[in-house]
Amino acid sequence: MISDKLKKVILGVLELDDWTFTPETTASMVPGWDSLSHARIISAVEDAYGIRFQTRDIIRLETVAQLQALVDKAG
Amino acid sequence: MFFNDASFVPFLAFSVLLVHLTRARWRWVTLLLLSVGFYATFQAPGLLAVLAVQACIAWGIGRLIDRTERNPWRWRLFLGGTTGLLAALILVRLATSSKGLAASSWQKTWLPSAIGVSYFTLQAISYLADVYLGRMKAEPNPARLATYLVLYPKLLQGPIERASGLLQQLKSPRLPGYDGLRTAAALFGWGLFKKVVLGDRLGLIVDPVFAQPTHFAGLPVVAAVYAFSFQLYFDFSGYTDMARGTARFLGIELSENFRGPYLATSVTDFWRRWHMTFSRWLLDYLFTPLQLSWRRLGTLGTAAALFVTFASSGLWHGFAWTFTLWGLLHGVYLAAETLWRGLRRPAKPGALSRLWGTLLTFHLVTFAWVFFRAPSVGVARTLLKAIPRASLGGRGLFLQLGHQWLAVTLFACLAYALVAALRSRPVFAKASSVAAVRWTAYVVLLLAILLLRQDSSTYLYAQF
Repeated sequence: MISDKLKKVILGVLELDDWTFTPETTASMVPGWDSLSHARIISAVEDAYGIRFQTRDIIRLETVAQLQALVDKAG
Repeated sequence: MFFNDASFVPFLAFSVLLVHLTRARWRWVTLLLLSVGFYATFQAPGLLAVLAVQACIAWGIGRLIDRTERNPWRWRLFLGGTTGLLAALILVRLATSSKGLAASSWQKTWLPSAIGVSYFTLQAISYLADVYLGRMKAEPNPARLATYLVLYPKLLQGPIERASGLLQQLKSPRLPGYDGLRTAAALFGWGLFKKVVLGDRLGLIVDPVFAQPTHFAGLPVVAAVYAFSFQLYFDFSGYTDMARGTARFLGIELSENFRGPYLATSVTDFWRRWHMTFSRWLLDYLFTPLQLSWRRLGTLGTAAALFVTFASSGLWHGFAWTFTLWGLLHGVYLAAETLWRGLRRPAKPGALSRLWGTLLTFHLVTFAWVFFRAPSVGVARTLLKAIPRASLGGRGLFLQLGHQWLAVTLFACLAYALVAALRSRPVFAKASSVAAVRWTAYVVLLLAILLLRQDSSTYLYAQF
């Protein structure tokens, strides 16, 4: 389940009004989420939650659900 | 043995026959034996030893990473394995470089060239990284891992394949039916046309100018510089088509490596279309870790990661100032584009803006190719300085080639452009679904190869 807060952060960076995130959603499915915007999204998520990820953990990420799990674990 | 050597045709026919006669579960063993045999034709026993070393490092370290639970140890193992793989590559490169052991008889007998080594080393590193990152399980069978590294259609110049995809295919290659064999032959023929008709013909304009830079000025230099951009594309993408066609004959699908690179509207776009499996490798295993480590720096961090990544990619091509400068130029282009994009809001570019972007990108890339092709930075500088000088001294180059040669080369290039432009259109698919049209095209392609070829036995990218 993707939280509204995480969704809002991602949409804010990508300047999208709305997008339906499912647990299987990967970055390539979301308009504008490419290798260049990925780092900005990760930084924005860290700022929003006041956490800091390990680089090797975020390299492994494949789906938005995995990002949510990482946020939940860090929180 | 290269794909355009006459001896390759019977080797390919023998491979196809053997693979078709082998039971599905043992086909990878047949492919391993064929690949080792193919590599052995380069008469460099040292290369087979290097392959065995790299396969052993990748297999052993991969298994250890898989069995280790604690992250710091997994990281140390990955780092140790990657260092070992890179050290072997660097040693081979140094030994085979012109300043290396060129004069020793040992080197001439055992390691006359480094052909294929950098390609299977990159693939071994990607395998270790994927195991370390948990993207795949370590391969339990060392011989099957070696088959992934040495598979002969992609051995000399890629495409650079991921272990997860190719190992899965190797477990049971699906043999092609009639349509598969037909499209494999067509892809191979199309690649051969690009290499021996287009690339090798353009090489006749390029080679004399880069070999004797002080003899030419003005138009011949401009022609050679532009011609090299296209020669390299036809040579390398032609090879890739032949590699993909060969693999398809054997029941393996290899990745695409080129997608109209000179139509790119930016240098960033160019790297999404040129040597795609290499740029994907750089992106996944070098750029992304750097960019994510420097994420707090925002756009500046991304630009710095791009610069470091592409500056390093120059070194992968060889330890020479020419390749270093080529890599640095692309690093600067990409970093500047990223910073520029960060300053302005994205807007959908119009047709004129796209055309300008394509022309500018092509010229930036072509400028960098001068350093890539030149035997030294001095030669590149001499040629670039000679461009604005009007001179009739180079007319001999074109007179020597003759009007007929120029007309045929121009016609062949236009025919290629026409087919390339139509290929993605529905009319092409419709026409090629008619057997008579298809077979007429195959016969024309075969005649063009036989009558217009300008055979050269080397491939520009095989040296890397």
